[in-house]
Amino acid sequence: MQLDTVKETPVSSTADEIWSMPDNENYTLDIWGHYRQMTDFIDVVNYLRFVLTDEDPTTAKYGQRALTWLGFAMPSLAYTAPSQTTDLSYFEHLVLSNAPSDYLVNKYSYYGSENVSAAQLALDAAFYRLISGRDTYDTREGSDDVLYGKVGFHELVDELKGVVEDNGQSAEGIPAIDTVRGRFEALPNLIAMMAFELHDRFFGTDYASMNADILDFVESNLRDDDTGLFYESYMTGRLGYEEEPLDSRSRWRTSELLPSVNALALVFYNHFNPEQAGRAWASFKERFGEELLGMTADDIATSFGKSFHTALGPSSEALFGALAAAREMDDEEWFGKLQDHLFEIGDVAMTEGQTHYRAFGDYEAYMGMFLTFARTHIPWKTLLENDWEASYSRNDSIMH
Amino acid sequence: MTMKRVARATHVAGNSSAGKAGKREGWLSRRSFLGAGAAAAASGAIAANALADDGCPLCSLESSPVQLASAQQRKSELQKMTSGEVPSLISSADEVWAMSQTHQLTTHTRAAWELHRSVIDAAIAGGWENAAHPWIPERQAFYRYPLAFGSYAIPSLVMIDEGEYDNAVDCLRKSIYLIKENAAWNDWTRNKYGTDAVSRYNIMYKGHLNLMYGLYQMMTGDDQFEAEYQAMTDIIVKEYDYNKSERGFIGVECEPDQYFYPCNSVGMMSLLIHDKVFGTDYEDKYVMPNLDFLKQTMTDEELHLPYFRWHPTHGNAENFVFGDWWTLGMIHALDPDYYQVAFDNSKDLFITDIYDGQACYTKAALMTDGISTDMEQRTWIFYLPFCCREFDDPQTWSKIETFFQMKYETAVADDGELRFHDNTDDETMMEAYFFLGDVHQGWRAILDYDWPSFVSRHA
Repeated sequence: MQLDTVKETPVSSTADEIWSMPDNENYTLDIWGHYRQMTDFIDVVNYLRFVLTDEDPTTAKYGQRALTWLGFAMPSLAYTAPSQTTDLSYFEHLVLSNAPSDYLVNKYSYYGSENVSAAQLALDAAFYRLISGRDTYDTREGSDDVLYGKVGFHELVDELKGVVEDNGQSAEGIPAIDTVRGRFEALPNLIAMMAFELHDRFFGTDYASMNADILDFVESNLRDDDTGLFYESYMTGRLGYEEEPLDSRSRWRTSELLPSVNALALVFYNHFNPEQAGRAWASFKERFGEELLGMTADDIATSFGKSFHTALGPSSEALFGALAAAREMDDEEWFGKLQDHLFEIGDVAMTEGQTHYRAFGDYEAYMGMFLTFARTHIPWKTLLENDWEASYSRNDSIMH
Repeated sequence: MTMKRVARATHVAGNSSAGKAGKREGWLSRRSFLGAGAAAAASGAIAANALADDGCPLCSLESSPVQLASAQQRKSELQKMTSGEVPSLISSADEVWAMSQTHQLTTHTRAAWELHRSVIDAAIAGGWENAAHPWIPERQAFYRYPLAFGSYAIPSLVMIDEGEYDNAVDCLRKSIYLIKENAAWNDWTRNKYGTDAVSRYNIMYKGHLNLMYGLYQMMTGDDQFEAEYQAMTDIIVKEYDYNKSERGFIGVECEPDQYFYPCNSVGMMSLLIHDKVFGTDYEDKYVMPNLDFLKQTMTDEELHLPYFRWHPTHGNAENFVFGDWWTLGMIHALDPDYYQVAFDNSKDLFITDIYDGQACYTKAALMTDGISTDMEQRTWIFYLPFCCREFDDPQTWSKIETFFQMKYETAVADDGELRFHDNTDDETMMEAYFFLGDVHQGWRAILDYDWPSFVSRHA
């Protein structure tokens, strides 16, 4: 009976208390509020799966991205409170069974990307395997227990490998994953690399052998030598028709370093090149710190639905992504600064046991869900080295 | 994502045509115990009312660096409660409890019953979009519950006052017509869970229907629904058998992989009533094994409180507890001592006294002291009076009824019906719950009542 534990958990959102959550094997009150919001959202999506376009058009457009990033939060939430592992495995299962639905993607949006979806779903499938030990999503075959869609980890990494090979063998000659045809970015490649690594770990395959070339491309073509930060995108001009000729002199790269791009990329880059990520994080704080801590609620409220990678937009990705990056970089001081600012501008409230950022406008619930990931993230290295088997059969989730 | 609370409920005094909800977006339609409060907050519909400390008892609820909007909002809603006197109930607990001896309905009970009849009659006469009490299509999935729980009041009503027999039977029959009507169940087929709402899963619907069939036949002897009733029970028990033999658990899911304690408690009661009507042995065969399964799988060992739900695929019960007074009220008769512990704990954990104990509110969640805002369904506050009647607790009944009377400025109108002057569309057909909360005689009393003699008196 852990009721007393819950009741006695200090209500706080200081960086120190967030950092202490794994030691306490429990969440702070406002993180419980995120947890409740997350599970409620996933449950509703699961229940309304085919009528979302009528009931909740926003989720119908952006639900997949909201779900996949919640899926990224599951290992951290389970690591933090191991007693929740079975419940979180179940919710990762709901993420995977619902996120592929056509009803959760705005197919007509410029920001739709099948490759980004494949990479994110592959990583969620990997995390389900990691925290549950179950094979439900290993393959698309045998989907009797899966009700709504079917993610297959094997098939997804195969598809991603096919993208890498196709791009590498095309006139582009770039062995990496394009976000959309002719456009390359760091983030989806880093996410796919992690999925490859985990697939090899679980199944003894060799997908991660591609990672060195992918990372070489990303670091050589998308990284600024002076700061270690990433540019947003690298363009090849490829249209995609057969035997398409391309002249490498026509390639170009965006020239501005953006906090949104780097915040999200650093969350994953640190796993593959911690030394360079550390340098980039220092540059990030120096270059973008003042901007981030000067963001207003209006900046955030209007920053939604403008990204290939999340349901968010540049400003919200920057501030929220920086929180996740600070956690990945184990930078408690900066996490504290960012979180203090978040609370200062967010008008944070707990309603019905759920944490809401009322100043962030009509889409604050989606922002809150990304913040579930950002505020609870545990460094990947810690997560991947954790003894998950010890939690597979736990049946002592905290009463809440 | 915007949601405005523009709609009034269907029986707001002087505004009978105002039941149309505006277009609503958000995570609204999960079921009666999910979503609306989250949606309201998520949509920014709840304004941050920065109220000064006015001495309101609710001010002390906020002890967190995280602002508790729920408390703030409720402070605004209940300011009138702080400035005025705590009103006397239209009918006191003593009067309500005495009905079983006086065989007279109290003023409040009569008014709630008249309003409930009026709502049911209006839907039968004029359809769901009737002028007097139009429904709110956006809350479609909420309607089966008050239709059902209003029906569960009918046997108690006639146990109190047999003079109500004709109206009671008429109301129950019409309620069955309505819960069978497409609008009461097609959210299931729209969500593509199946081509019909009863063949598999969905105990949250067919459990109620089966119980309503049973109560009707038990108190009338009329076989109008018997063929349907037997078919429905047959579907349920076959699903019990299949789940036990093929899937290793006892009971029936709502949606696939979503097994809920409260909905199974209704299915179980429906089988007990079937035993009463037809002399079957479902109590031993299905109900008591189901009870054991619930206790072992999704009940807190110490507190005896039901957990929110259980998932067959992962074998996990989500240890989310709340004021589940629906379940406790429905299942108490099966093990009174065991569930008395649960009821006592539910009060300790989820009910907080205000106004020196003259009223109470219900907490939104275990982890906070925040009051439930517009999510009565989430904490199932409407089931609390019914549960108090089931557990013979007039003190708590009086407190929560006082809360309701103050919150909704409840009054009896000139036409003799109850009126709620300050309600919202979140409280769909809430008169059914007040009606049940007044008349409920306890399931053991209902099960043990001499219905054959009753039927013969009204043949």
